[in-house]
Amino acid sequence: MALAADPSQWRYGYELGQEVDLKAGSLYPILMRLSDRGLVESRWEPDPPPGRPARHLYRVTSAGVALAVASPAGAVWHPGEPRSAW
Amino acid sequence: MNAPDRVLAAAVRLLPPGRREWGTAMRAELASLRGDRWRFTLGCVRAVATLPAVWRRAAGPTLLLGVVAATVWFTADVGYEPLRWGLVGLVCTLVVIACLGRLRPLGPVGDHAAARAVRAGGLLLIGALAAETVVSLAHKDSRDVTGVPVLTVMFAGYLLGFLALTARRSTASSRTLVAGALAGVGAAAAWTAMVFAFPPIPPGPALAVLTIALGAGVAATIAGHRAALLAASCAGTVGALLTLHAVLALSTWGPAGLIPDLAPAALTPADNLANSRIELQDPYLWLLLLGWLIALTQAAPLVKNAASQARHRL
Repeated sequence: MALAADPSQWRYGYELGQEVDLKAGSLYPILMRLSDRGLVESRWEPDPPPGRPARHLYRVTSAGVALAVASPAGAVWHPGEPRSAW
Repeated sequence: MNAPDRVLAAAVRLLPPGRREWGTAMRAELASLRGDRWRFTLGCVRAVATLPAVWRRAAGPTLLLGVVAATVWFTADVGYEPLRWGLVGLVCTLVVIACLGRLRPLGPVGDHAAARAVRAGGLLLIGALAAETVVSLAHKDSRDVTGVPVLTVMFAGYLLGFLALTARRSTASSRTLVAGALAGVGAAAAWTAMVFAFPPIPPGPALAVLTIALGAGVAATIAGHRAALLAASCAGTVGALLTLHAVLALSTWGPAGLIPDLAPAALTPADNLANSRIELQDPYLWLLLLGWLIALTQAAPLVKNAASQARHRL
């Protein structure tokens, strides 16, 4: 949902984890699964600063946006709210 | 590289080829972080460790290391050091060869289910024989080390044969392997059935050799002219190993009626039976030699081709 808020924007993994309050151990498996299902796309950072490797950027795909829109309102989780046991 | 980088670099090496990019992404993300690096690293390690594909990749090496560790532990009571380390060496040799099954030319395993099944079955049969060898030789007071190098070479030859036969580079098709394996199983089953039908177990391996040869012939016929040799050799190695397993099991635990009288001057009937059980196994070790020679013919073409290609590259 954090990605779907602005589908055109590419986001860094760490920044995304901070935003949705997920540790890397939870975030990356989720991103992998979403990517496998074609709901999230990734690319390498185009101009990394010298001396630092390019980072991955993530963005929700049109299929991902469609799924987010179709999801029932109760399934949407906002940062700061307690999460259900999904 | 500092400690979190090293830890993450080691963890992402476990990722399968299809997930390597994610490992690179995690490392790049870590490189950009100023604080919270350990927390991020441990999270990534957890992400890697919870992937089923990583477990599938790590299961084999972990199991093999466990086997070596178990052998070292199991032989700790063996008083004669050359025997103890000879047995550990036997297991280590087999583990190294099993690992070679992941690399060219012996690996990776062929794409079809038959290749995977025959390879797994072969590893299991050799593993069981090796375990039986270690258990039977690892006595506290034993100093008999002569059989260890011979059996190491034998088992290694079998493993090489199975790996070569089932490698992706092998010319053995699914049909060839299925025909060979089933004929080998059939030969061993036929021998066992005959032994139960007409006890006792013959004191020599002639009947077993005959049934294995018949099985090899059946496999060659089913596989067709071009693959006849490969199918026959597969039947030969599988049949020899399975029959040897049957002999070892029946001579150890089989009913007394199956055991021929091979002890010339035993004191009591119980001693007679116990000695005959032990004596019965020795002639059947010729089956091990027969299967070993066949296994070498399986491995030779693949190893020869690999050596030839290596020479061309130089």
